[in-house]
Amino acid sequence: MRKTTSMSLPALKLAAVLLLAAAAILPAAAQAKAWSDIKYPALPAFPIPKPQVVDLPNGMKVFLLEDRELPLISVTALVRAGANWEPAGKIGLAGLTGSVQRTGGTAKMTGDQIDDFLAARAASVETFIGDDAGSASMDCLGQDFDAVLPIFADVLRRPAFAQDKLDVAKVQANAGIARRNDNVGGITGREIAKLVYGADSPIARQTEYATIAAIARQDLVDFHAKYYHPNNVYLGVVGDFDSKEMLAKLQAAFGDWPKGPAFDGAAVPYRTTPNPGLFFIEKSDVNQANIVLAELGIEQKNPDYFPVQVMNEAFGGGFSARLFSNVRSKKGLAYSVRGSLGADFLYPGMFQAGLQTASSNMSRAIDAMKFEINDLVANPPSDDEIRRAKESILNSFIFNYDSRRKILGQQLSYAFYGLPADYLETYRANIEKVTREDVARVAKQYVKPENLSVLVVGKAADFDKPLAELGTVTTLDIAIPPPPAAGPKVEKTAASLAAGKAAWQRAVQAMTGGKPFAPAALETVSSIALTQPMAMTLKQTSLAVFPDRRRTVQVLPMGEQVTVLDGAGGFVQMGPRSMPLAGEQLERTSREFARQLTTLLRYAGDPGLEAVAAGKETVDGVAAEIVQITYRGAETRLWIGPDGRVIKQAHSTMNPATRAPGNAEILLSDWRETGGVKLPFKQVTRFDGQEAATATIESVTLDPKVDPALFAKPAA
Amino acid sequence: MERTVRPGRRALVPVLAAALVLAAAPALAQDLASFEKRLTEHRLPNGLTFLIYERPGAPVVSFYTHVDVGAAQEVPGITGMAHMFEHMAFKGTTVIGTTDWPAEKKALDQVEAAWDAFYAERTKVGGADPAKLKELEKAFKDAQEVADKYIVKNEFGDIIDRQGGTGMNASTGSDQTNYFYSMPANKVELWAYLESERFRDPVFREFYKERDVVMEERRLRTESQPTGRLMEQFLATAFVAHPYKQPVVGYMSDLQSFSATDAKAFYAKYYVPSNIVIAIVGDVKAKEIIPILDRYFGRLPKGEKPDPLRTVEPKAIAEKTVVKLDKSQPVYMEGYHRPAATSPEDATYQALAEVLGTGRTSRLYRSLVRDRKVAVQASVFSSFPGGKYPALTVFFGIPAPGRTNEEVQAAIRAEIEKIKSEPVTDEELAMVKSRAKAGLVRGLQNNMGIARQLGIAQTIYGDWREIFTGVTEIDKVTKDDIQRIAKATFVPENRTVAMIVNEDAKTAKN
Repeated sequence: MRKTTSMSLPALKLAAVLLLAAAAILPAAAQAKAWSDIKYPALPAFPIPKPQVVDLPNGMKVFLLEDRELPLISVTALVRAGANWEPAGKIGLAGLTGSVQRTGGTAKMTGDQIDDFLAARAASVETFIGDDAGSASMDCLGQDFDAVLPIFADVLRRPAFAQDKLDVAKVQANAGIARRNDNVGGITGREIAKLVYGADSPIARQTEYATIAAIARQDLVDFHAKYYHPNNVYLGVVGDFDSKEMLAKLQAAFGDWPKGPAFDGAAVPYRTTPNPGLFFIEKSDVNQANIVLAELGIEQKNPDYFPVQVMNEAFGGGFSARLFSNVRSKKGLAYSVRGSLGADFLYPGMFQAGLQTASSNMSRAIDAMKFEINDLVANPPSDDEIRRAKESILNSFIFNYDSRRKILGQQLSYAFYGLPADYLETYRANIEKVTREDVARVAKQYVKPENLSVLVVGKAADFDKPLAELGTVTTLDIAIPPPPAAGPKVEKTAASLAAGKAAWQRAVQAMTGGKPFAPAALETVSSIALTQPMAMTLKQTSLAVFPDRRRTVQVLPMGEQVTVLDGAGGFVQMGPRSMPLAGEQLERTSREFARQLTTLLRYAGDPGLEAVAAGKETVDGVAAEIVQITYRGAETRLWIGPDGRVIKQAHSTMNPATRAPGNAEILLSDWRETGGVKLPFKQVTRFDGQEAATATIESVTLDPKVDPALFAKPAA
Repeated sequence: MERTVRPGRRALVPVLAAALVLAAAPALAQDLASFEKRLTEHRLPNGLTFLIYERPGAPVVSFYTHVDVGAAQEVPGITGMAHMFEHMAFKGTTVIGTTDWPAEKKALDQVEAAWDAFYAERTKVGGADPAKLKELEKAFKDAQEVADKYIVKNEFGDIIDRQGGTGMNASTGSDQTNYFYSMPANKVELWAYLESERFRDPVFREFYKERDVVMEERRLRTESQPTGRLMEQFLATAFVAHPYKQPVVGYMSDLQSFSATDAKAFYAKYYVPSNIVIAIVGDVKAKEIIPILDRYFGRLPKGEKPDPLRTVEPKAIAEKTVVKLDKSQPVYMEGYHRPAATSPEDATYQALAEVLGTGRTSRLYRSLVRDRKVAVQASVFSSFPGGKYPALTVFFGIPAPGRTNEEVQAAIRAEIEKIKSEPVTDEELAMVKSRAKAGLVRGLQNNMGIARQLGIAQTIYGDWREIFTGVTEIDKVTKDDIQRIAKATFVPENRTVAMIVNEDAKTAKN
């Protein structure tokens, strides 16, 4: 080894001195002992450091704990808010709010500027909203604290929720939905929660394309405004600072934050009756069966919480726990086997036992798990097992408070969830008190083998025996619902029809200035920059001959493509090849023609055109009325601004990138007058939130000369 | 790819490191000089190295044993063995885990004989006789049942659990195997006993049941995970000769075939004291615990340090592509061969990966995720699957819904071309350097984190000071370095592409 040559001189000296010292201490007779003969010196007393707790006048609770070892400062804020209280139609709102709160920047800095600013200082500010709490954290070198704190405060108090960053977050959320069936562990965890708590419970329900699509920027703004008040905030700081100075800094950053309404989150609903049975999900690309058995557990505040912890330790805690010893070591059935009776703060946790085993061991593994669960009740842990479990919890107790960061985090969450500040100290005493009888009683009381939902995810064809031999099987469908085919449901009432008509008339007035608009034909030439399904620029000439003929020519890199609607049917022609338009494709093309803004304008007063008011929404700062228009069976929604301009149009259609049902959104701008009407010359199209095309109109010609031959089907 | 060590360099660098770190961050108390004051290196005559770092405070201590053996030391037939031994190191000794060692030993010898007979029949030239095979399998199972009677289940782990051990685990990688847990500070002697015993006197009990557990681990992590399946194909393709091509968990055929006797041979070769570094960090005094360490670990017999690995990955000469049709959504990655972590260019590779692919300010995130929205995740890993030997810099992208691998590839390549043709900005370079410095400080926040870094640096670089000097090296990286390395590395023949293509999307396209 070249080690000695690379040692610095002082280190060498030190090592030499230590070697000598060691030699002096070590008597020749010193021998290794058997482990049971080893005596342990008493562990030195180590009092749990106490953070300083200060209530700011605006109701914000502040916890400070100095830790001078390293030049770092960390801040954590917990906020009363969460996905438990988001509306059922907008599942994912809390998550998106928690993400865009940080990425969307503040009034003073864009999200990108914040990224750069923090990266240059190797600092971080992050936000998140979970089921029952929002959080914001900041971490930096002590020297950068004064520069980073204002950003943290702004992100917490005054996030801008920039639309472009919401768009990015929605793509991420949709990716999560698209990929949620790729991972077998994810499927199992998600679906067992639905079985136990009920699929509609906020605890178990999941985001869908539709719920993500239903969320607008204003929803994020409103969600934040509803919950983020200082009197709902618990803020902790740990690190290299002087508490007095720190308090002054926090008062400067948060002191003028006005108090808001107290948190009013309703009780979280969940299924209270058991859901026993055998449930199955087919996953054909795995070679293990993922098995979980579960039922409702207990609440954290339950006085039986402590005997339950001892039971958990004996059942599924460590190396000598029953599950690890029997199912893994003795039977070799699984790499990972787990089991515990869970507790939660706002509702019961879950009793859960599970493993992953080779498909060919499926029934043996279920038997083994059922045996262990039954045995936990019938033969509860012995004195020896209880002693081991308690020793394991108590001897490692010091690790609950071996760092100041941990202690601060604990005190913050105790306060947030309403546990007493001395919870940690009493925890120890409460565990010591637990008896074998206590554990036997709680096992019997809370573990009900007959109530278990048993979920198996795997490839049925490879199982050692048909699942049906184990009981009546309920097969669960986890196919991902496609994006909504229609927009939000619109109530058709006399009032909404009248309001819709009025708004539509305002739009027509803004475009035509009250003059009649009844061309026989209309030609539009535009240049379109496509970004998906592939990036390219094309030129498009679209000739509409009202009421029902249209010819669109697209000049593509590989040649010209002509799409024709001829009143009866239609065809697509590319070079010498031509294909009739039929079925779904014909319907789609006809719908596109019918809901084009110029077509709607042409038939603005047609009795067949129905306009229904569908609510209000602010788009890019403009308060718009939404009108749902149905014409010739095609639906579309228009966002009409106070000046009558149509800002946005949206409808469901095929997403050309995924070739699956999706949502198109067209942003209309650059209004110009042409031939007596005002039309949007710039049209940006997004499919499912992703920018797909920008069309720039080059010319609009009213009543051009029309050669009827253009609509003739090419000879076969 | 040995790092060139100039005479005296090591002695100079620490001083320089301290100066640089201090200059950049005046508040930094954690320079090498002050760190070194609390660190004791202790070498036993048998070659075992201890690094003891005194960190007074809460009465706890973390132990981290780093063994210089990983999957890279395996050859066909015993792939997965480094990991298998890691599992066996929790099975006890001739004292722990048994009710009657002499009787158990006899029974274990019979298990081994029964396995050998069964395996010989199974692999017989001309094919096994089914009836005989069945009989031998039964004999093998019966022998295991006899041996199981002497077992005290998981006593080794149980002692640690009961005495307050936390975070007990072990891990095996391509480069290394490590064992770690933390204890209340008054249990140092117990740890010394257990840790020395597991490597001095291990018993390979329950070997074949544990082999089943490892097969489940392989099914769980590799075979039932889309990215696990892809990664195995990616590495197998990227490397032509070097054992980094082999999965750490091993091939299924090897797991079904190797024996406890094979495991013993592997252990005897690699678990010698000169191949082991142990880091101890926490509320201990080196002076007080060194006698204990000497007493317990001094018993390990001296052994030859194993020969270095001979095979070196040859220079890449062909671009390779792996396409895995799968039920899952698309995943894209491409890797480029790069030198080992000990290479003088390592710091530049780290800086390159940071600028391109770490965090929201990285070029990949901004281009692929934020602006083009072709991906929902895009990142770069500087060195994969290890660092001890020449490895890969890997680009990783998760296409956004409706976006394709091709779009992700095109966007990654655009960024690669850009970094080859234009120097990185001053801001980017400064960011990498401040991150490295802050990362050093953050890495010193907990006992186990420090212990782990000490063990790895001491083993890979032969000097724990690399934790500090590595940061100095990054501070020296220039824009030219980054551009030069990018140009030399990001060329087609040095590249392996791997992707998951969704079966349904593929069918729809056709």
